[in-house]
Amino acid sequence: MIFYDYALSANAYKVRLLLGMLTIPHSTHFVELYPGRENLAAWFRNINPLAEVPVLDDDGLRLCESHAILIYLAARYDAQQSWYPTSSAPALGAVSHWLGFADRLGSTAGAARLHDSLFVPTDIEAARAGAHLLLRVLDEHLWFAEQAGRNWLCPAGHPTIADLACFPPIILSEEGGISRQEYPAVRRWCDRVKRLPGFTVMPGVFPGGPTGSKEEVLF
Amino acid sequence: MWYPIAASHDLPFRHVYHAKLLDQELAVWRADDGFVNIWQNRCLHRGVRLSIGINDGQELKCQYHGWRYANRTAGCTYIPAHPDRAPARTITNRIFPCVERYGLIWSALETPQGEPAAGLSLDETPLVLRGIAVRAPAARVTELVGSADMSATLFVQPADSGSCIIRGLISPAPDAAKRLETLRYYNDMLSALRDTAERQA
Repeated sequence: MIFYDYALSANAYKVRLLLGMLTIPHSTHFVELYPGRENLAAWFRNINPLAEVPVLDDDGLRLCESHAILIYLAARYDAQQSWYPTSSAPALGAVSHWLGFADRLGSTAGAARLHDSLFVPTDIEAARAGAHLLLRVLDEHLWFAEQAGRNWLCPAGHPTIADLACFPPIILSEEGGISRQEYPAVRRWCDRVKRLPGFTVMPGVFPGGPTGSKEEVLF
Repeated sequence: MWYPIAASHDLPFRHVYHAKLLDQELAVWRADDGFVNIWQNRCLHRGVRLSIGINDGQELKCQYHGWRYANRTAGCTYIPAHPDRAPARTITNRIFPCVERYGLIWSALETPQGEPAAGLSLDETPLVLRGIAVRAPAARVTELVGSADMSATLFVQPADSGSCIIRGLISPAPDAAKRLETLRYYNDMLSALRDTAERQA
């Protein structure tokens, strides 16, 4: 399995997280997007005409979109079928909902970050305002989830690929000038993601603290 | 006066809550012994926010260069660049007053007289509503809250000149069966109030 990756890519980070959490053996091929623009080279466009990472090549099966890669890896390599619950229609619906939400986060919070850090043109004020609207919705969702005794985006008692898809644009939001101070339930959920076994950091993301011997208690 | 700056449920095991009161940013964390620390949100070394730091249960560690600050005293206990030397006692973070009552964490920039005035008796354990952040001045939101027809006890925490947080209590707390429904009801009422305030702001 070959994973085409770039260290600063939030979308590639989604895949990196799942590869780590499922401990899937693979080799990584780094593509320098900035400043080298190696993604625009003919050899890489041959792999992905959209000239973006991440790309996964699993024994000849090639996938380009980050959420497609998450779905494939979870459906194929998660023996428990918990990260992508293929046998439950309601659970699949919920996961798909939050994957769509992750796309919205990418086009707002993610775009603001690329604008501020890699000088990608965007309507920065609209991007930030859009991100705050989404974070407000997400904070309410997660607060009520906690009150109902749940830790994750979807109703299941375990995280899904939806959590991993939403996490990168949120945890990197401050690089786009988007504070998370008004979203305490989102901040607590970020702590929980950071404490998942196999979690890894990327530039701009700090590690989580130790949970200690005590069971993590929400309330 | 005392202002509520967080709910008790905002301080789960080994979390650091990011608060703001009257333009002062605060790092709020509960140590494993239950003590709630309210500190200036700034490492004394390079000024990085301590709200992104690590709460290890006894100390708060800055993410940048690992300076550590002790529960209760906020004194610096360890500087990784000088592993053999104890930090000077003068290296102590600014502490703000703290009282935990009725499921809320109360603070102030200067220590106020007396107890937080919530109109409740100390033995009450109210239901704590979801705090609603509002991007409108606290004075205007306080007016709206005052004229709202709600059986909740409401407080407005002034965060800065343009934003505040509405916090509320329901006492006595409803039965467990009605708990989520009650939380949802007041969340919707206060969100509508927030939208009104923000349209006018």
